[in-house]
Amino acid sequence: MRILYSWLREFIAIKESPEELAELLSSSSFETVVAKRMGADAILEVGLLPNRVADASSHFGIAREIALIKGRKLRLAFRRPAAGSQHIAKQYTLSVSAHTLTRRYMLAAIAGVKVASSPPWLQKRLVACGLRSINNVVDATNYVMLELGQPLHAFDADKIAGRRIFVRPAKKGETIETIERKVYALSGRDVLIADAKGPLALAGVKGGRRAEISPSTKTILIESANFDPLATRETAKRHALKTDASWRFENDLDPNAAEAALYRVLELIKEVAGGAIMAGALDAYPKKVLPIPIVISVKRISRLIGEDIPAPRMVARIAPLCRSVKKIGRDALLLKVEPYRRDVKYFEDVAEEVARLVGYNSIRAIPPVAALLPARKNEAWMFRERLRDELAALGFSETYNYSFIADEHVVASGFGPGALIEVANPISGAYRYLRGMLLPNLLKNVRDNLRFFRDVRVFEIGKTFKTSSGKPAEAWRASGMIGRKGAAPQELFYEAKGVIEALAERFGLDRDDYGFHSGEGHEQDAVVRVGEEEVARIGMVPAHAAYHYDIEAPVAYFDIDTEALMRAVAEEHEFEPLHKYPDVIRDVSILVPAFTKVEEVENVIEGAGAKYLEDTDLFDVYDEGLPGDQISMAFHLIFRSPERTLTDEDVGRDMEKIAEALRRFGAQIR
Amino acid sequence: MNVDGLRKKALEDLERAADRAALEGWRAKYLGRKSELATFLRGLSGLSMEERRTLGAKANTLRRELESRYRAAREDVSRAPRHEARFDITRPGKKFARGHLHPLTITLRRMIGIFSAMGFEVVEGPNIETEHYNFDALNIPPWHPARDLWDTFWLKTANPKSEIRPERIEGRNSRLLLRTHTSPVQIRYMETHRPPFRIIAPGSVFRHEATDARHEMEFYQVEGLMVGADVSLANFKAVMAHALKEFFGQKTELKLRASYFPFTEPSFEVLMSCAICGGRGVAKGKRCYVCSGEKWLEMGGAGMVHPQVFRNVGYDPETVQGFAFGIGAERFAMVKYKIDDIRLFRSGDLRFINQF
Repeated sequence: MRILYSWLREFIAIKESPEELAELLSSSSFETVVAKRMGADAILEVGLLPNRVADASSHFGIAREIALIKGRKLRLAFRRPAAGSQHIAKQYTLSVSAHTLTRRYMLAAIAGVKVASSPPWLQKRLVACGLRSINNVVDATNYVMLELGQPLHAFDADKIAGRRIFVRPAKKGETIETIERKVYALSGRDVLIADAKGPLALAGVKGGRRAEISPSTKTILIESANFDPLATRETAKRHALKTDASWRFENDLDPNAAEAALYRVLELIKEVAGGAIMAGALDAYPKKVLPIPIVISVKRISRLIGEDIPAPRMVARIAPLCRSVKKIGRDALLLKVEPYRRDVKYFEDVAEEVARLVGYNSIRAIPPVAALLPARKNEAWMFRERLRDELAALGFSETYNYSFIADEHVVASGFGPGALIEVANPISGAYRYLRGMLLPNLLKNVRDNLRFFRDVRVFEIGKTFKTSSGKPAEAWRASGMIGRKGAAPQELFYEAKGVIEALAERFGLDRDDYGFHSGEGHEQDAVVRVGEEEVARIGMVPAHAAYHYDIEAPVAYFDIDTEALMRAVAEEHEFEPLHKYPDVIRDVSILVPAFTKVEEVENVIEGAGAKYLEDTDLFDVYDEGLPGDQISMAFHLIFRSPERTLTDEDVGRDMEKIAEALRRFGAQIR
Repeated sequence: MNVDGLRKKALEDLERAADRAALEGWRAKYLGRKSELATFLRGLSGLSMEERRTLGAKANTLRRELESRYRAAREDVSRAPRHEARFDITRPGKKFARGHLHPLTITLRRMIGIFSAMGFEVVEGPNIETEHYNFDALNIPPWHPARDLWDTFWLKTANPKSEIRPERIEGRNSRLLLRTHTSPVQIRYMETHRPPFRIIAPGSVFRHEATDARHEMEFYQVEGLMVGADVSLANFKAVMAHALKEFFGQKTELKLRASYFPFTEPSFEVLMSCAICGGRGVAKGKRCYVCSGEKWLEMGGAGMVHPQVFRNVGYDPETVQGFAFGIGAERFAMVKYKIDDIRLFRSGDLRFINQF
């Protein structure tokens, strides 16, 4: 909202420069900057907060705020201007049937005006505040709105049929043509100003064309009203018509302010357009808004602020806001807060006023006093943080992606849209669904980074979203991808698998605790289970997905259910006694038919009945230089005894058993 | 036995024992169970008293001397094996393939670490929220103009394909949305806990707005809430000033500016003296590019919890009070690392991430 520095000075003495004034308002009230300097004058841009629009969306309102902060006097006296003998009630009648939505409706009249352009001083102020100049009558209503914050509207009285004004709900099927020549179809929840023929204005929002002020207008009716905030907001929203008037009404203006504004605009119209003011005003104001009584405790306000503020000091600060302040107990004060301050309704609102006026920045910082109880640890959070460290240590860089995925990712990710949650108002098709898994966005990361790097390893730990029996379900996952130009797919697959194995080892899961099983999809996937529970998946990104993303390099992924992994880890990690005697390591290298699985060979070795075999560790597989139907595997065999250092003979006996079993399996020992 | 001859030979051999293995061989030969000296000493009882006194004493002296020389030789580092390799210290070291943590992770850890040290517990809540928790319970009823402060992503619930059915639970608005702030976590926590307590709630939040260098539709917020019998505004100033100093340096100053949030009263904007220009507005003779010469940076919003919010969770606002705040992790990271475009955080660009 634009505020003219010179205009403010009509209401209050200001010693501060525009810059100093902006700083003062910013720190105590609302963020304010000097938008433009014009010699000694300046335009201030005031960022009003929603709760202060009611009382401060005008020059007088801002002046009143300055008076409050600085304890200065306000100059304002609007008296009812001199009027002729003809009384408005003899000429016009008012009928308000939209009771609940119209808190107050006032009409006054002037006869014999001369519609022309406004004087330059008035035009200049309107333009400086961002409004267009129309003609002297319309400009006067806008001027008073900027001055006092009360929206006003002028009708050409001679165009009103039947000399009777109705304030009523719109009927279904009714339309109104506004002064901008736009036609709106109305709903039963809109409020209209109407005559016997039909709509004249959309209440609180916009005037209609039929009774608008024209060069030939002689007699005018001026409306100063107060409409229900919610109804105004809904009407403005429904018709996408947010106006200076609707903005003020929807923020709950004080109905009492309508009267002063009506006097002021009559005076101004008479000054700039001439005419004779009719005596009296029509005023439908069934439920007068009174000052709000609030009982405050001086001690409690001090306690909330954290600083002792003596009662007299507190009273001096808040008295200008109140019609009366009465001491009603040792510590209690009864305030009657002026109704224009619509934001001061509760004890805490008063505390805010006190804190603000004392100055937030002069309140001393005091460390809180609390029981010395350490914060309870958030295990899930800490586990995820540890996962991040482990994955970074394994050479993966961390990304954060949006929680959204595009239409086409739904296809690429293999999820049907049925399981995904759809955004009702997406920014664009690229962000239509909530991600059901992290992989689609990670694949995008791989694609983008392969432009700059040959070898891309990325991971993300984030939330995924799906529907589960009619309800939204969120789950944390830790997923990663490896893309490397020129790499063999196997190389990347085994790296992804290595990630799972490395994590399992770091988290204390034994090879007996978990296993890799073929996925039900295609054979390039594996499921990692602990007991019956699936904790992760690894595999190759399917060719069609890579193609969709324009990636030529092979890409492997891992996708971990962090909560399942955490459960598995919590159950499994147990201390084992340190072994006392050194390991003996022997290697065995064998030739087996191609497509023999490492697991099969390991089962043979471990089932051979060797007494001291502790672990079997594959360290090499190759088929180069061998006949096509054979591959070579080499294992480290680790022997250990809890009782003594093993001798060559002990290990020799075991090795013989293993060799025998391997030969029976059909392996050729090299 | 010729003690003197044995001594001479042993000492000569010891000179030649160049490494650990040779030294052990020497010990076995001259001091082991089967050595000449040990054998002789074991056979002393078969000698005459006179021989026992002279030769025995001499042999024992020799044994002690050899043992002491053996120990000295073991500790003599000149026998240590030597590496003959030569190094070029100007050659780059071997590269280890370490990954990088995202700057948001680093920033969040530091922020959380600071509050954890002050006893704040880390609490989380869902990203998909109901209208009730995101707005109504925070004193932002449907008609409230303040709702315009938060542009909201709504989720499709009427869509039969999405399977989500809206339901009103005890008259609560259960329309689904992506939370626009982490403040709903306050409500969820207070519904199930009694004061006094202090919590922080980090998490993603969503705003329906076009992205540019300064605006994001998804970002990380850290919510804070401390409630007790007399937790005051003065306490908030101490906690926040400490956090900012810990994060940005001890010279950092805190300032509060009046603001408005429906769920706090009073409400204020948290400002910090610009960490780049030191609050002078000028850096290196030019207008500071981070605070644009304003000297102060907006770091988040805060306030004293509104009594209606306390009533909504069944607390008695007459007996409890407290502060709440929300600060943005991206904002902290941007000021800390002088990052000028918020979109970099969710770009997935390793040229950016690998700098951290």
